[in-house]
Amino acid sequence: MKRILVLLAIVGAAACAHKKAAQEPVVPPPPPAAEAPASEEAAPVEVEPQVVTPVTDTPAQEALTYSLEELNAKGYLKPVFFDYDQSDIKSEFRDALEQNARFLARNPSVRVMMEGHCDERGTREYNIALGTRRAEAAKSYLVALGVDAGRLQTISYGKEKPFADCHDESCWSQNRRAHFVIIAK
Amino acid sequence: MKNWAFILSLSSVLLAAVPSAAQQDDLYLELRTPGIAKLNFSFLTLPDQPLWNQTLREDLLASEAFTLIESGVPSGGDPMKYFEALKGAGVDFYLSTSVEPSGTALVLRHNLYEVKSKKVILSKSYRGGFEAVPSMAHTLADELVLYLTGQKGLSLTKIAFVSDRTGHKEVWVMDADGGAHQPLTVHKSISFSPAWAPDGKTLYYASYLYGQPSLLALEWLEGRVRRLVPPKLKTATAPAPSPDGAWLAFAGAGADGNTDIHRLDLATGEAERLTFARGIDTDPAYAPMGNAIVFTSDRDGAPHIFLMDPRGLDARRITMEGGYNAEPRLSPDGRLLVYCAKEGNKFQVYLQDLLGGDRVRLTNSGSNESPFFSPNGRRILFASDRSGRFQLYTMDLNGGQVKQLTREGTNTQGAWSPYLK
Repeated sequence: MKRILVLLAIVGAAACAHKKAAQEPVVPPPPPAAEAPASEEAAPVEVEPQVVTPVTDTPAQEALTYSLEELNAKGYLKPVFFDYDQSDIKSEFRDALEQNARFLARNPSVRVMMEGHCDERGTREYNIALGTRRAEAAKSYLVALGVDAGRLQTISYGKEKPFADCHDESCWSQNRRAHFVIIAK
Repeated sequence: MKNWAFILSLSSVLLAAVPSAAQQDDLYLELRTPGIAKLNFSFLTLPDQPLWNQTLREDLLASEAFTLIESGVPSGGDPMKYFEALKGAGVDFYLSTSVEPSGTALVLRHNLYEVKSKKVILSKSYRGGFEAVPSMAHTLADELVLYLTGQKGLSLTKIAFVSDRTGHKEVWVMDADGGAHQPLTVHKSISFSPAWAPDGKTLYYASYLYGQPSLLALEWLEGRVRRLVPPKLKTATAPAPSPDGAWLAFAGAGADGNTDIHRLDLATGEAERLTFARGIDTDPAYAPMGNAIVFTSDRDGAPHIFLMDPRGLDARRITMEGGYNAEPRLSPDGRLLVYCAKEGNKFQVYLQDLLGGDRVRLTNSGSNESPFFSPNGRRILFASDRSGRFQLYTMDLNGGQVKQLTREGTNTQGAWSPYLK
């Protein structure tokens, strides 16, 4: 069953690749799709080890050691950044999401609010919709990595709560993000 | 323009009433046409009432119905002796005012003269305390606009907007000339996208007060707030009441995270989804006759302005130029569309005549967003960061006569009230 799902996801990603990403529904490609050979036979073999499952020789569970504030301040959950007016997960952020998924697997009681943010070069309401897409894209990706969807909430702040305040790309790139806040441990 | 046939058919849907060519010599109709004829008007300035002078002057200019001419008549002078000079200066109508103290109050007696006939054609008196001087000027300005142009004036209308001056984005209200700022919400959250009900008594807005952005209805004179909960939706923003007050269109997203236009039946609380295309649909606004909804959609790849019937049928794209068009609003007669278009990294306000013709850019300095027509359709309210932080401004339909309304904090998303009773 897992094999079929992975194949479907790969075929879907390939079929969509030539279209504009912003229009696509937020179906995450499987993490190794870019690196995986196109062959239908080879792909599942490459994919299978990537699905995150709780590891038996877990290091100390961070959630048992630190307070909520400390967990968030220590940055265990990495943000994901987006291109302008886009909500697809870029390949360079797959590692970050896999790390996040591993953290969540190690700390099964942790619950997360996933915030979608946008830069100022969009209108207010449109950006709220775009931020919703970004948060959902990140959530779908984590769910595809095996995280229980019930532990993940999403909210969009559009351009209402920017991380950086200047008016050039150095700030805009910081503000186009899915940001993860641990809300329960 | 390949879209010509559609625009023409659109015009018959949207237009309320447009004067025919045969009526063009009628002064009343001519004055209703933006940017054409203005009345040459002069009024006696009061030496001890600078606030009254300034308020009346700004109201008359903001009405876009008058060209103001210095009277040259000294205070206390008999206007009868100055009519030839007024006529020579091209003045059509002259307002004379006398001030009488009455206890702690003032009585202002006004006579409006038609210069040609030297006759008083309108007399008005107002009595009020010193704090009422601006509102006496507003009331007079609206009477003058109504009497001389047949249009209701804007002086007693309000503007709702979003300000962060307290450290939180709250909904505020002010007079249409930028005076008398007053906070309407103290949610200490992020509240935004205010929209007036057609009766002017209820303000709809969106807020993060309950976590996810959701809709609220504020009876602003009584201060009563209630939450509107569209069933089965995770978020609800961008409220837009229908002209008959029966429906509230809004942008909502369900569990899939895709934002669509919905409408809420305000009597029953039932919600209905109106758009089903892929992509973001947001920024709904009803046409003034209630027979269409304009909105922003990126279903074609980038945000553009679309129009559909109020049940969500027959959606069609109406902006063909540019790569990012959003925040559409229609003029009160349904003929003109304003929206903002991204150029480089900034937005500019554009005006499009739906009867045809090229789009016209109205702004060029800074980023300019959230355009909104005045209830008489003669001015456009918008937010601009041309002076640094975003502030609210108004301008005429040519992009001229720009007036700054706010200065404190950051102020955005102005919504002009309907005429208030």
